Amino acid sequence: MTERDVYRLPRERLGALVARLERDYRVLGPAPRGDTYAWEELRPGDPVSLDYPTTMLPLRALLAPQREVLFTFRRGDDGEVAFDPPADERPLALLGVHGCDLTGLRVLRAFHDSGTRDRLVTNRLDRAFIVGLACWVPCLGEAFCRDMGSLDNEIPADLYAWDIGDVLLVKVLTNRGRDVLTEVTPMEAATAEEVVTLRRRLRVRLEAFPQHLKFAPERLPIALEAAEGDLLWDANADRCLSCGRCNLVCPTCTCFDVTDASPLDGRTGVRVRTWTGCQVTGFSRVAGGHDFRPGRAQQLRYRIFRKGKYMPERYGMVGCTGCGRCPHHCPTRISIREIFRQVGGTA
Amino acid sequence: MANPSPAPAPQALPKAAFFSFASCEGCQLQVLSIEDQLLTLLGAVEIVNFREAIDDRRDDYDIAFIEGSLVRPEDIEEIQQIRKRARILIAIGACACLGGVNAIRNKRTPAQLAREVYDGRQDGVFKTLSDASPVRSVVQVDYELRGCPIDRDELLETLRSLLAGTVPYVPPFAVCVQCTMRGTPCMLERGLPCVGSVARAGCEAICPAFGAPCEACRGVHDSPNFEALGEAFFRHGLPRYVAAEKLQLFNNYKEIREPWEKALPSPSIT
Ligand code: SF4
Ligand code: SF4
Ligand code: SF4
Ligand code: SF4
Repeated sequence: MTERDVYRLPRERLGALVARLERDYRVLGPAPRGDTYAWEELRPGDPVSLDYPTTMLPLRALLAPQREVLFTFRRGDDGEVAFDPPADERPLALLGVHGCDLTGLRVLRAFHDSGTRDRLVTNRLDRAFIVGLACWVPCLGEAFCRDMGSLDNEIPADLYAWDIGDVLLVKVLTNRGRDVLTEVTPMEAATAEEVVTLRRRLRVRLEAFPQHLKFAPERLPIALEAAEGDLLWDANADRCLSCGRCNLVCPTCTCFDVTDASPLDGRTGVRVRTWTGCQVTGFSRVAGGHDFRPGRAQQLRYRIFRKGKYMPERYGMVGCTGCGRCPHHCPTRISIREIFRQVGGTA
Repeated sequence: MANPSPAPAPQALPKAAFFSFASCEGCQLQVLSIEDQLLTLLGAVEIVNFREAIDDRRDDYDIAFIEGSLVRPEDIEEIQQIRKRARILIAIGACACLGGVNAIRNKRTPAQLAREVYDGRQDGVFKTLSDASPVRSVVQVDYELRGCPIDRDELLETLRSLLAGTVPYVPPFAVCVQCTMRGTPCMLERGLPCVGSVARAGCEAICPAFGAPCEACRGVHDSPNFEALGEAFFRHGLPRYVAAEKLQLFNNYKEIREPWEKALPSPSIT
């Protein structure tokens, strides 16, 4: 950490930050919803949540939404079909993104950059203003972000904040981050005392984040390969409902279905993409009713392999951020952390 | 953007008829409530038989929509007649597709029912089949529109799809998929008995979104795991038999009941 890039943002200036961002962005922050949290629009004056545990749905719900119109089409009287792209939207400003979810955005980027670049998603990522926020305690009992190296990840944030009490210490990571911060604070560097406080808290924090895995995530591809025929897949799949919650709450799942919808006149319509996932019933069923990956055990194994083996092999980054959402939201608590622990323990 | 002019009307519109068996007729009302699109609908099909809406009925139709489950001996003959006349037969609603709430009685004997429902009196009570049955247990059903009641948009989408010559889409997966996408916090976490994880989607998980646990009114999805449902209930402080009680509501017709009955302890009331 280079201290010259760390500035003081007194808590009471948070409102000014929201107001500044509101000028150019649709500003969102986490807000309580039932027994969990969701990203909601913030208006100037709304409290900014600095100690929320984590949201149920990951940030991709904003960047590559659940249901998205890719284009609309219409057939003219001459029979020609015309296509219209979706309307322009306001760029997003995301306030208080934790390390795991920042990592999730990096994976989302890697996926949508590869092959045919997905302009809708990458444009949203390019234009988003992101304020990262450090965690002091694990959000969920199932989290293992420290093991997966995402607890302290700051990329791709523009600003990254540590809440140390009356003041937030904010690190500037991009020019656009600096411009915004300059407009809402006098850019006072963190005092020596504040830097000491931060370092002490970061040291103490490690105790709150016990290590769950006895190996580095880089070993996962090999460990998983060795466990491909293991009985653990069947044992876990016995209590799997194929409900797909694990896929849908995951920040690094990227699969979607593409369908057309049109009213009865049959002349206009929309092409829509909708989230789905490898553990959702019917996902691997293709034309003619053939299922290329039948059975719950293989479907569960595939999801774990995708996170721990296929994504590292393809994108050079592990596909699990350790956010703990999938075990936490699984109705029978099937745990990727436990599975990683088991395969790593024998390797 | 220029408004596309309406499509030219085809020569002869396909004729549609609606028939009602044991039900609350709520699905027919749902059809009538498509006000905003009713005219487009009428531009696409001619409705020749519809008890809730027209008096002058005819018996020549291409598409028959069937609401309600079959409960009386004469229902069998009637549905067979309809099947003979219709080119396409579509069952609509939980009663027609699953047996629905009418099938709750299927585990009781007629004497038991007379005692519980009619205070022991048998006179004037009509003759019934031993089981309240879904349409497909008697005749071949081409398409099913699930739900209690059916969803209007789904009806329109099915018609559009049929008119375009494509197969209507039926989600093969769990209600949880649409529930989670919607961002609804899971009811199980609040200790509420939701069976969405074995139930067929298509409803956009409207019940959980409005605070009511899913009761599987669209039946079960393509790969339900009832043992795991019991496990999920148990882990959330709910006895496993409560899952069976929930499934009993809409999914009590024998073939539909068998798999969950095997996997879960019996409901406390049958
Ligand atoms: S696999 Fe599970 S723990 Fe890993 S990133 Fe996805 S939801 Fe989080
Ligand atoms: S998983 Fe770790 S980084 Fe993510 S919110 Fe929880 S504690 Fe923070
Ligand atoms: S959330 Fe759990 S039960 Fe549901 S599909 Fe995923 S692993 Fe299976
Ligand atoms: S509330 Fe019901 S439908 Fe929704 S996720 Fe939970 S179990 Fe599934």
